[in-house]
Amino acid sequence: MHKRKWLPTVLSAILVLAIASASVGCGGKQTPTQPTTKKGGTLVVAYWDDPISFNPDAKVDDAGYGIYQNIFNKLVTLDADYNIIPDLAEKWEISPDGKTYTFHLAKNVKWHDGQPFTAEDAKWTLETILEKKGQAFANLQVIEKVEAPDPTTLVVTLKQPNAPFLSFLAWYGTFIMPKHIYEGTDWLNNPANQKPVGTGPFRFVEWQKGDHITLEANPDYFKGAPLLDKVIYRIIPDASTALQAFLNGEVDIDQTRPSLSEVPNLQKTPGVKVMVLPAPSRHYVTFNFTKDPTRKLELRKAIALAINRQEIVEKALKGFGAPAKGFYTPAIAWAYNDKATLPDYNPEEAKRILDQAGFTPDKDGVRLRLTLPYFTGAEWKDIATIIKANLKEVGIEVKLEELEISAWMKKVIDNKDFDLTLLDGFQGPDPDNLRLRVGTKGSIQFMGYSNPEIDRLLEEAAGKTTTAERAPLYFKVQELMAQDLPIVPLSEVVALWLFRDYVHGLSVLEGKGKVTFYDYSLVWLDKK
Amino acid sequence: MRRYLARRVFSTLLILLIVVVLNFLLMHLAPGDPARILTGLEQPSPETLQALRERYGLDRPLWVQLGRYLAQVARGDLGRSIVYDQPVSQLIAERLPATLLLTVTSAVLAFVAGTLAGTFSATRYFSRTDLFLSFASYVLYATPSFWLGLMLILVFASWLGWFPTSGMVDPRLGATGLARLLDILRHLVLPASTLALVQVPVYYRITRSSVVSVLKEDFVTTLRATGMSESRIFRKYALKNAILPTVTIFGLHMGYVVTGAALVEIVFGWPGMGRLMLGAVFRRDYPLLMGIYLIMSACVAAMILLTDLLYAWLDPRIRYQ
Amino acid sequence: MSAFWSLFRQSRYGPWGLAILALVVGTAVFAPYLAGDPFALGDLTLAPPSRAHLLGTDHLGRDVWSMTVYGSRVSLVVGITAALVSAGVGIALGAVAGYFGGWVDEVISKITDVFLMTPTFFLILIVVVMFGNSMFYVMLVIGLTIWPANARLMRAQALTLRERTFTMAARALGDSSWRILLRHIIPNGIYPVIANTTLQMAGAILTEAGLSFLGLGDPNTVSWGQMIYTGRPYLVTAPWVSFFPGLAIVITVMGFYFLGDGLNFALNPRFKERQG
Repeated sequence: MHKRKWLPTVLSAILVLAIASASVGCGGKQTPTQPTTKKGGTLVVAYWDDPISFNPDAKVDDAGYGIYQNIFNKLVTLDADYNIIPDLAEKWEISPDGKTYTFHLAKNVKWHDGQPFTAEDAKWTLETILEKKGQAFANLQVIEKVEAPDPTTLVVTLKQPNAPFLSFLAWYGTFIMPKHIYEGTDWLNNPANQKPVGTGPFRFVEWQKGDHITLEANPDYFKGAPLLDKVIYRIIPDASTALQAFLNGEVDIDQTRPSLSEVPNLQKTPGVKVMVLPAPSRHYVTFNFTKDPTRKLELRKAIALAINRQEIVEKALKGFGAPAKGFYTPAIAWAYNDKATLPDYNPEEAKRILDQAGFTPDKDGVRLRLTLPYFTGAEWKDIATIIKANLKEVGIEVKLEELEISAWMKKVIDNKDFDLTLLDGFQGPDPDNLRLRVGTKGSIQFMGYSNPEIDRLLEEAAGKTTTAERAPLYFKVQELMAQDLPIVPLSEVVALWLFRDYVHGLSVLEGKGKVTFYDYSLVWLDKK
Repeated sequence: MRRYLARRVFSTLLILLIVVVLNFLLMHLAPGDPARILTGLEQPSPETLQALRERYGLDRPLWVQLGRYLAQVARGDLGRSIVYDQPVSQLIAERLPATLLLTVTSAVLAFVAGTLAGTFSATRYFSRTDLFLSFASYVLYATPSFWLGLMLILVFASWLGWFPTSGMVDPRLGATGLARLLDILRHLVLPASTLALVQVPVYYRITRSSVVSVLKEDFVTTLRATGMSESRIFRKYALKNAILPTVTIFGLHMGYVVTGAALVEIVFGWPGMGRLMLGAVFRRDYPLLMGIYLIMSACVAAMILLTDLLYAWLDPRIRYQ
Repeated sequence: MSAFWSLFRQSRYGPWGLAILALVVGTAVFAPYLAGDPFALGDLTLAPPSRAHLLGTDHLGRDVWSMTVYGSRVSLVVGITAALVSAGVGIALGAVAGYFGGWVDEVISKITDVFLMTPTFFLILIVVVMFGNSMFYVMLVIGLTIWPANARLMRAQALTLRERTFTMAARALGDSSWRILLRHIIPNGIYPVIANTTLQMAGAILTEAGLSFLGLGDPNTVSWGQMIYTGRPYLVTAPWVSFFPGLAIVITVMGFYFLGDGLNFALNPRFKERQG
């Protein structure tokens, strides 16, 4: 080892760092600081479905959401770590009574058709969501009035203080839409739903249904023109086919949610980058509280003991994610109570509890029969199959029923014709999300569960403004959940990112803290 | 002939009507509510649901909905998709060409390949080639199309890299004109081959057995006795008679052409009606579903009608039944 | 009977079909003796074929050999039941239409045409998606969509048979129409339907596989179609999961085809002539 060989390396490193920090100092634009960014190129993304339309706020549109993030902006948005970051609103203040939010909007923002963006557009959008019951309606119901005192200021007044409000504004269904195009028309039928006009980093070019969607860079983007020339979404609904296309080099990013089982091989593939990241979502089992036997606490306790969460993570989730321990997502750490935990896997104990509760086995060893409808999706099927096998061990015979989402909704939510069912869901951006899931009037709470104490705590916590005040309340809620078992969490969900190593500037890497998840405004391609 | 034509057309239309009505009833009897699914997983307020229902006319009694629909169709309007908020006819028109391209190409390929192979086999009756081809046709006929498609992707797209994995065009190329045509053709090879391969056995068997039986006919023996060469007999007389059943099968087959391609379209990400149909079923998009079903039934009906007419024209006895 | 048997043996593939199907049926019947529990989730996932697991394991640790063996039960039950439903409906309607003629024939023929013009796969798809994907629905709905072929065959037979001497004799003797149908028409005309039924069994198995490929299989059962579906994401890394059930389908379906052709050869005089 030559002793002085390291000196030039260290000096170069210091030099690069110096240059890098200098370029960060000059100019407030959000351009990447590495000197090797390359301008130009087309990013091709494998996508699993067409959006229903390009109206980002009217209807629930899972497929549309990722694409909207490149065409439209919100007032505030979430970065890849679920922090609230500025979007069209550069800064904002909240009044001391927690009821008035004043947003200071970016200047010189233009719509893709050249018209200037003003606070009127934001006002119109929020009011329209409330009036026409867009998908974010329930989250924004707390709004009392919206005013635009000048073109770059928006003032939102709430009916009462609501801590989660800002995070709901950053979440879904709140993209700002052009008033000059939609006002006075039926927003479900407007031609802009097929040829959208937004403020985002990319402009719409064409949509060949079932095949692809093309976007091109918006040179007037208020945060700085994107480095890419174009983004193309290729619609490939079959995940295996999409993966093949990705491996064959036909697409740069695979957003079709490939199976986690491919990950170990993908990690070994040269030129491919795989990122498995925690997401604030979890899989859980829930029960029918409107009828027996799932109404009985002992049965729920036994089931919690009988399910082997480790097996679920290993087999259904290929080892990605962790077995759930608590009653909220650890990804939102300040609200997570690590003391309120699930019992460990213990089938013998489960059998004992079942015996005590009067569920004795018949001559075939079956104590009772339960139905478990779940909705289509490879991972659900695997989880359900493992649960079925686990519960069989303790004498509970489970009949699985795979339903597509509409039938599942009818059966489970409307008719309450089930004993157990599986669910997952984003638990953020704020622990107030718990209210949706276990609160008595929660919009995602369909099980018939009602715990007035939990409701009271959740209500109180939503009204407080600091995390220091709210955390203890949420902790207590989780303790109550651990006792009452309205749900049995199974595992923490992971998000899978799959892309070629020449793709830079994604929200989970170089774009951290600057762009929202699938916003490709900072992306550049490091290839010839 | 004209009376026969008129009768057949009339009865075809009548049947189409029945098909449409029955399907309408079936779909509305099924559990699942399109208004509900549009609102997503969260429980919507009753007002939201009612608003959606009114908007799409879902709150009227069934027979009223049916009546309105039939009146609409008679005017040529297939309604609007609940999910996409676009005219159904437009959605179908966007996807139909892709499906037709795939299915017609594969049907023609299968017809040609199957007929040639069948004829070849028949003239070498019971030879080793014949036995081999016969066995191969059984195997192909027993192979699930989607499985075959996956195998072809694996071998020709992944391992050999000769063809693209999926889709109809490579949007990165942004090709137009001739280049675009070539691009589409490149993407067409694997899915069309898959679909063709599973159809070949049908044509193969029909052709083979009909050629064989024609070759045994008396008139052929007579011709042979006159000293005519085997190949001349074959070309001038036998072939024409033997082809008849195959042609009629082709006609019937084309009718089912659109439906058969759905699985292959899914595997290859081919932007045709198959996927549109699936999505419509899953989302309970009644107008779209009805529209697709109507078009498909109409295709099948048209094909059967044409086949019958062709048959009747060729064989006058049938007209007078 | 012996005439039938000797004809059958002469057909090119008939006996092979019988042999293959005997093997498949035997596997289904003796499954518990041939394989372990197909539902058991072992610890070894995606293991290649080995001594412990003859055909490897799938991603949940289930033994592929056991699943393939037990899968034969489901495939056979689906195929046979669907085809029997189809035969039942087809024979009944076809015989009645052909024998009685007139407006009865018109009506039934119209109904037959309605079903013929229905894109059956999508109809089955719609029903399964909307009403539930239990095996029961699948079998029923397949059977209720493929009967037209049998109805047409039976009708053609009935048309011919009603002009035959023995039918006329029975009529002269005063036998009721229904009696004639049950005792003379159907038993004598049923042969083409029998042959066709075996082909329909094959078709039903393929249809079930197609439905499972779209993810609509019954999750409480083990079926070959579902195995292909579950094995698809692992095609490159663990091809045995999808390959063997696919092979099983091909073999079984070929067995039905062979048997069907053999039956056709032995039972249907016209067919025999065409074969030469």
